Amino acid sequence: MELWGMPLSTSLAFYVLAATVIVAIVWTIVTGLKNRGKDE
Amino acid sequence: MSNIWIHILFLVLYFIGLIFIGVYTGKKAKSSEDYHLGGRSIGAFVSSLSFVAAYFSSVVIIGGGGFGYKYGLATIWIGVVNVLVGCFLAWVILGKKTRVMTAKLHAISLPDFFQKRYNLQFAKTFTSIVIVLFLIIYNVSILKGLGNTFEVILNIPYTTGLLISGAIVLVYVMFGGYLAVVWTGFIQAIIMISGLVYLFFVTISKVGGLTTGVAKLQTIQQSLVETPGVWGFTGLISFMLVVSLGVWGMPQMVARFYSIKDGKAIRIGALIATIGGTMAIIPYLLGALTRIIYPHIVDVDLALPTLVNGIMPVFGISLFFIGVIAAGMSTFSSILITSSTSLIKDLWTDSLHKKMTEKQEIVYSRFINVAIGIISIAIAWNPPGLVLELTGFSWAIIASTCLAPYVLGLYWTKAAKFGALASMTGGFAVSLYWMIFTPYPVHGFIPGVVVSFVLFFVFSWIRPFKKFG
Repeated sequence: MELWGMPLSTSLAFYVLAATVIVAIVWTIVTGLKNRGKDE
Repeated sequence: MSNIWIHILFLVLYFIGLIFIGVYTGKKAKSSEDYHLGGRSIGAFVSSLSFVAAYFSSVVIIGGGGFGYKYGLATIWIGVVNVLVGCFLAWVILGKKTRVMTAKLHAISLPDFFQKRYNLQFAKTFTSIVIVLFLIIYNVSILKGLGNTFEVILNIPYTTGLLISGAIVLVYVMFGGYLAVVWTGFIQAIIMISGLVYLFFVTISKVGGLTTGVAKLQTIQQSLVETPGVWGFTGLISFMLVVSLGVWGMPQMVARFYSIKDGKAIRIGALIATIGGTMAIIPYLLGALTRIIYPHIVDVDLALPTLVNGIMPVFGISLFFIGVIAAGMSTFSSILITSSTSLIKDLWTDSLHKKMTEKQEIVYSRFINVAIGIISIAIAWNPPGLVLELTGFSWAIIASTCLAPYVLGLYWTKAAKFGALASMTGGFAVSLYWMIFTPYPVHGFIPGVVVSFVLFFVFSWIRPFKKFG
């Protein structure tokens, strides 16, 4: 779980960052599919 | 050609490009709404990257590097929460709702939105005064970052750098208005991100890889690699909230949501802003690693410029130099345009009922930009604090005044005028008192925002009004 020798308390920041980007991608795709063809 | 002349050559080319954009977009500003909001027709890429550029200005690059140097790797958390709360959640929660409601109300600024949403003239007058006054302090922090960069990289006095960068921004904002601000912001974001990514790889290679760098930092002081580390949880979390949640109540940031084209652009913009925003962690990380190479820097705001000057090849220095200047200028210009909108539209024509033609509004807005810019430069001549401290002060006051009435005004149909009134004045008073006297060591943003939400609910309950919508 530790990254580049950083303690977990600091490494966790990188996991949160990666999760945020993944959620943003999924959210964009899902809302895009839901609104397909609609006038937004 | 000496290195300094190469930097100057790049800088001149860059400035010519900016002025060209200012003059070109200025020709498109036919009406006041064009000048202040770009005609509400701006696409996803330009809106989101100019959002990133306005957010992560020289304040984050220079100030973030300084905080990383001072407090260590725990400050990476600030960048991460900026991406999660300040970019992704801000776009998802505020974006579409703001676009729809401001278009429906024909609101072109946050004070204008308050007046129309709550049918309360005082809200417009009060918030426009707070915004103009406290954005000047934010301007000072940006100008200090720019002055420090010029000072170290071009080896010229801080005040000369301050004058050069300030003058260029004033020229393109004066001519171009909002459209110039978002277009230059878009280009500046690309330059800024490229410069930071390049610096990241050069620095990591210089310290022998990230793992080795972290190990070396640990030998200097163990707490520099731990969270919360030398800063402690109270300082870290409260600052993280100011510069992340604070964005939700900052008028120059949420303006991107009124001017964006449609819902699709908001959806795509949310993703681009999130990905572009990830670069926010780089200054904090590199600031901490700078300690390994330069362990005795006294003014921590000089940490990143010193690092760049010491380890980057000449073209890399030019790129970073222009990137920081781009970052600072994009935010400075966003603030100028927000301030002039508040003064001319919200205060002068709407609150004081002074009549003006659309053409006069544009002309006066241009002069107001110059006046606010000059006042900011004058204060930045002898800056009263570190870059990020000044930013935190300004954001705490503005966000404590605007955040609750803005978010609740969007989402709560029962949000009423007395609630808004109590929230604005109470949030403002508490945060200002806290920032000046600090009765307890948490950032003034936290008590300010908490009090403003509590007052909003209490007064909306005591004096309810008919539902909005």
